Amino acid sequence: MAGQIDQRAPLNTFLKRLWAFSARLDVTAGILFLLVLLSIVGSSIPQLAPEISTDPERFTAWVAALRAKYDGWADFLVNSGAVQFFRTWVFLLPWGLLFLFTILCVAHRWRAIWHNVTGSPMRCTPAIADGATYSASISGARGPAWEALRRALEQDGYRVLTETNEAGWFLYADRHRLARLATLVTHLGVIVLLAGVLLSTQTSWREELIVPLDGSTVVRQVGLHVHGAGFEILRYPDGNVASYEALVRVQEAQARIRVNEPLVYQSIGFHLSGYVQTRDQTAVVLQVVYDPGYALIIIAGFLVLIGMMVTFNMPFSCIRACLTEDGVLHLGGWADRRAYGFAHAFESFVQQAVAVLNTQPDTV
Amino acid sequence: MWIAAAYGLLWLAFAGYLFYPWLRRYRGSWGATGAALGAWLCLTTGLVERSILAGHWPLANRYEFALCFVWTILSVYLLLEASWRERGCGVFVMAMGLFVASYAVTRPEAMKAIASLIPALRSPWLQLHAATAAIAYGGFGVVAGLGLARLFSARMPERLPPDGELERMMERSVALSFPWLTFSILAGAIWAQNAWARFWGWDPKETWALLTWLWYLMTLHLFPLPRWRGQRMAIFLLIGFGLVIFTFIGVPWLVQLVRLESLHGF
Repeated sequence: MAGQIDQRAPLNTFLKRLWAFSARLDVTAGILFLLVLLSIVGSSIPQLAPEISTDPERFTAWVAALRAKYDGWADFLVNSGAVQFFRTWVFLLPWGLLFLFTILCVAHRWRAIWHNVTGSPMRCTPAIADGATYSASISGARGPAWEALRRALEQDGYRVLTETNEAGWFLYADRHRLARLATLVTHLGVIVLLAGVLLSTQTSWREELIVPLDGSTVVRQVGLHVHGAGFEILRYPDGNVASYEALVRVQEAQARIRVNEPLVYQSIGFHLSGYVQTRDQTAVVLQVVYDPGYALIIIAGFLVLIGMMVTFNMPFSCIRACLTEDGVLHLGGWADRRAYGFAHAFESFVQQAVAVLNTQPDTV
Repeated sequence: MWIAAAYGLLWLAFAGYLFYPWLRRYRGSWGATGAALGAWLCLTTGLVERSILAGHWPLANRYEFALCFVWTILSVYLLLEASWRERGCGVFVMAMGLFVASYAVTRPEAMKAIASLIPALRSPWLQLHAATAAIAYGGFGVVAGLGLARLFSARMPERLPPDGELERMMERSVALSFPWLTFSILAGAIWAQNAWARFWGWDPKETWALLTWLWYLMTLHLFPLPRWRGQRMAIFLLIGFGLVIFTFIGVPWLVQLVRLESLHGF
């Protein structure tokens, strides 16, 4: 038995250290800093689009254009993989670490956060202000002071809970209790983002389609027939182009598509990306895209946004109070670091309780 | 005319905030705020007039965006001053506003001319994407001003608020601006999916918007750690604003310099 423990101890210690390491804010900040540096490098190098890299004809043309721009550097950039920098392990590894640490961070914290939000907050002990960031004691307090404090807290939007026992009267008040879950929403957003990116890279496809007017073309990936029924260039009075509009029919669905208004048919998007006009014929160029990861990525973005809006703007704060049999009112206040006005609010609650004592003598 | 008046008043506000301790002695410190408010009013009028003449929001080129950028710096700062009742940091924030405003007024006349929207810009997502970016950038401009103030706070303690208060305000301003940048990137992704059939393409502009976002996310992770607060954080926030400025002004230059390809007009 003892031998087993000895064998597991180093592994457990390592895992515990990794566990603690992953939840450190400065570690996450370090990864973010590295990603910033790598992004700067990547943004300075011409990047090869995935759809070009998979099409030999377009790839050859792209490399030729690159050689025309950069001479001898072009081959170096292509051969070293720098033109696909954002798809290299150098760039993807820190992203992977960031996602991994986010998942570990959620696993690290969710139980405690959930317990704090859903657990019973009442503490029925006269040592109620122990460990509080802000504390106060008022002697000679009685019922009116207690009621004044309770009213002031409720008016300020606090949820107030009270309990009485032989040791005294106890009060717990908090604001933005559920907002503490927002950090989990933000981190969940990051995880959903990862799922969306994986889904997008594994299952999405795109195809460029040239559809002649009054002619048809087939989307190779799914065998859909696309018919070009019309094309129009709308102009402003000054002659500048206002809009390109194509009338296309996909199977039985017909729609007018514009630059910002694609047709979506069976989750496949048909986007107008250009037109080709010769003396005899006009054809519209469509980007046909199927990307099931897109919706997940946008949902993830909004989860991150909502989570951070709540975290930043609805900081949690709570106040505990105890009125003992000998008439001493103990108050303790705790608040999130971002509750900038809490010190002032706590002082105001204390003052309101004291004011009652000054104007109305103890009667209880 | 309104834009030129706003620019002049912005210089006046800068001078007013610069000599603020002296003005305060003669009960004239409201003069600096008055000039800033005047600049804001002139700029608002100029932007509204331009919108009416163009028939679209003034967010369709770099000149218009720069004007909106200055407008949001002034708006955020004036709101901050009203709620904080503190004018000491005004000179630093006005310096940021003046930098962007000077860039705007020195644009070539061709860029300043009112033009009709090209087909790719005819989307409600343009307004959402560019307007939220302008709000975020304006907020980060104010944050940079506060960061600059924090760097000088030891040398001029009598005219600036206490360090702790400055740092709280820096963090609060980043926390308020950051979601706007997030929304701007999201709106941009949705717009790109509609217009270009891809939500992300590692276009230089997209990459720099992302790295600006990553930078401010990094600062938000560092704010709770005492060893990274103070002057270090002030420097981080100034670098952050440098990234914002580069994303706005520098990326088109980088695209030209390295002969990259970019679908972004501004």
